[in-house]
Amino acid sequence: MKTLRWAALAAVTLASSDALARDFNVPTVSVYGAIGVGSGDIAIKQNSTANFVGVMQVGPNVSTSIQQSGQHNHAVVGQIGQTTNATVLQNGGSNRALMRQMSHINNAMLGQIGADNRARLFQIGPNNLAGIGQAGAYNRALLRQLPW
Amino acid sequence: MKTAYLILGTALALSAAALAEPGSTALTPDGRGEVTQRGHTDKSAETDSKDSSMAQDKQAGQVTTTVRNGDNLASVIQSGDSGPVAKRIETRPGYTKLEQRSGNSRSVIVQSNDPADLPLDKLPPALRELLRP
Repeated sequence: MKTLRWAALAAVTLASSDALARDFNVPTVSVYGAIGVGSGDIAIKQNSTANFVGVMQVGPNVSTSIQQSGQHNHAVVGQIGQTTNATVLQNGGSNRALMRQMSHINNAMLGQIGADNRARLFQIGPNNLAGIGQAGAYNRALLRQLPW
Repeated sequence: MKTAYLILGTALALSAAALAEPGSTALTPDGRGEVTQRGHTDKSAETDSKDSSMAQDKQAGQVTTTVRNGDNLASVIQSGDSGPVAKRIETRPGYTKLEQRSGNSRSVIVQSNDPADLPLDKLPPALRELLRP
C-alpha cells in the first residue's frame, strides 16, 4: 500500500512538473568552458535562456566561434598565439562579451542583437583587425588595440 | 588635520584647473550633448545629430575616439603607431559607425537602435537565422 502511495505521489509530481514546463517555459542555463592548447578551432553554440561561455586558447593558430541565443548571453574569450581569430554572435535580451587577443595577427568579429549590448575587445599585436556590430536599444562598445 | 585640509584644497584646485582647460569642453546649444576635442583635431569627424558627442584625444602615440549618440557609446583606443590616423565617423539619430585605422590596426564599430539596419541579406543563411530579431 505504501509503495502504491509513493508511486501515485511521484506520478502526480512528474505530471505537474511536465504541465508547468509546458505552461511557463522553464528557464534553462548553459555553461561552457573550454581550454585549448595548440593550434585548433573551438566552436560553441548555446540556445538556453542564460548562456555563459569561457574560452581560453594558446597556440600558434587558434580560432574560436561562439553563437549564443537566449535572454542572457555572456561570453569571455582569451587567445594567445601567432594568429588568433574569434567570432562571437549573440542574440537575446542582454548580451555581454569580453575578448582579449594577443598575437602577431589578431582578427575579431563581434555581433550583438538585444535590448542591452555591451562589448569589450582588446587586441595586442602588430596587426589588429576588429569589427563590432550592435543592434538594440542600449549599446556600449570599447575597442582597444595596442602594439606588442 | 590641517594637513589633510591642505591636501584636499590642493586636489580641488588641481581638479578645477583641469576642468577649466581652454577649449576642452563645449556644450551644444540644446545642452544635451557635448563635443570634446583635445590635442589632435580631425576634420573628418562630423555629426549632424545634436544628441551625439565625440571625443578625440591624441597623446603620444595613442589615439582615442569616443562617440556618444543617445544610448549608443562607441570608443576606440589605438596606440603604438605615430603615423597618420584615418578616421571616419558617421552618425545619425540611433545610428553610429566609427571606423579608425592607425598603422596596421583597423577597427570598425557599427551601432544601431534599429535591428532592421543590419545587412542580414549579405550574411550566410545560418548567421542570418541566428541574428534575426
